Amino acid sequence: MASEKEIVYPKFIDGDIIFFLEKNVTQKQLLEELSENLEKLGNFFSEGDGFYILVKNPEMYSIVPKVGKLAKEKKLYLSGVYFEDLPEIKKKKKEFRLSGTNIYRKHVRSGQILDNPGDIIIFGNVNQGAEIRAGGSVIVFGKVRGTVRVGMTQHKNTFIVASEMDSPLVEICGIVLNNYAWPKGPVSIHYDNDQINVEPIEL
Amino acid sequence: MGYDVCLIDADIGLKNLDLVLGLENRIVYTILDVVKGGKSPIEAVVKHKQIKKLNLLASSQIANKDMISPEDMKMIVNELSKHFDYVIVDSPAGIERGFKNAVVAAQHAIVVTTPELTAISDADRVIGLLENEKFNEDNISLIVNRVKLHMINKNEMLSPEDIRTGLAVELLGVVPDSEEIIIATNKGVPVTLEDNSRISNIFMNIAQRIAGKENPIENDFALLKDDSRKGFMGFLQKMFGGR
Repeated sequence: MASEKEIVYPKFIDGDIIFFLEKNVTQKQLLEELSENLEKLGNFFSEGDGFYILVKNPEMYSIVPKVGKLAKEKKLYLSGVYFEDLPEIKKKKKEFRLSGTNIYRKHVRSGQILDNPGDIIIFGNVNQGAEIRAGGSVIVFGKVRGTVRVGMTQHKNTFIVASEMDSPLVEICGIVLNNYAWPKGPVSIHYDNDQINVEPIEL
Repeated sequence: MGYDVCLIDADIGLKNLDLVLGLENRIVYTILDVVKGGKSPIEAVVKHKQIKKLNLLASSQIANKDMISPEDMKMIVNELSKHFDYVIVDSPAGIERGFKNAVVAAQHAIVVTTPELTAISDADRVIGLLENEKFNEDNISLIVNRVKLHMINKNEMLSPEDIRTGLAVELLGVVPDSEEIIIATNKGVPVTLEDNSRISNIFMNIAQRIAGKENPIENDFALLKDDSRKGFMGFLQKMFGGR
């Protein structure tokens, strides 16, 4: 998976953007990479927004003021810092990996396959006979009538969100939902504690 | 409408456009003579008997689709486009070589489907393949053929609107299931030659839309509703809900 080689990657967890800073890398590299990531995600942020960082190397606390300075330069705020790992309460929340996400602005037609080791966002319908395969999660702003497989690399906290669900086959972290009676309207399908929760949501 | 039009029958080995146009006895050279026999495409083209601006490059019944390559097709269309306003390629069924031949030189694709789930699923696949060939929503259009209004009214058939929403491409026309078309095809006379019939108006609307003229699709729906059952029998049929 290409995204695993990244030294800095953002995730969207419980409404917060958290940048994960890998260990065994110099501070300079991490700061350069973080700066690039903040540039790339310019559309996600508006002036005065905050973000979190998770520093995987617990001894690298001296990076914090530098990240704070970098945030200020970009007119953002460093809202908080985690060291080593996320707290348990955050781990249980839905996470969405922002890097390695493929975004498609089209309808996925019969016979087409969209494949991504990360997450997939689709602005369009997934028609019957089409297949979506994601290592992470999938969001569809449209009607899903094709097959959707998510969490293929056995990610925890993967989910499917769709404006309308009418799919005959959904696989989430290895668990198959065949001919499920989907609720009408927007749906969230969430893998949690080896169980799948299907619930109607408001988009 | 006065345009010079050339039809190319790309259904090599299962030709039928010459029969539909009643030109089967006029054909001297086919597309195979152009590709293998050194004839130029314009030499092989046959003029229609009544519509002088309508021409056909006929297909060969003895050849098969693999005898013509996409490059041959590109050459033929490029050559013919110098002489005609519109070159229309009739693609064969299926998604193999014949389909590739038909789309390789096209600037716009018209997908013709019928209001059945199997046909719509196939149309969706074809639109996906067209997208892979660099077509997009702007140059793919849809014609829904063999629409039966009485079945749509009873919710027994998908309506053209449902199909347009499902396939998400522009609707170019709606053609009703009609005996007139079967009769015209068997006679080898274009159905549009019948003045002011409902069917010929529908095909005229489609032609105008292809030519880029303003003609809302609602006109087709209005013609569909313009029930052909007229006279005393038609009145009785309507009274007793006959088909």
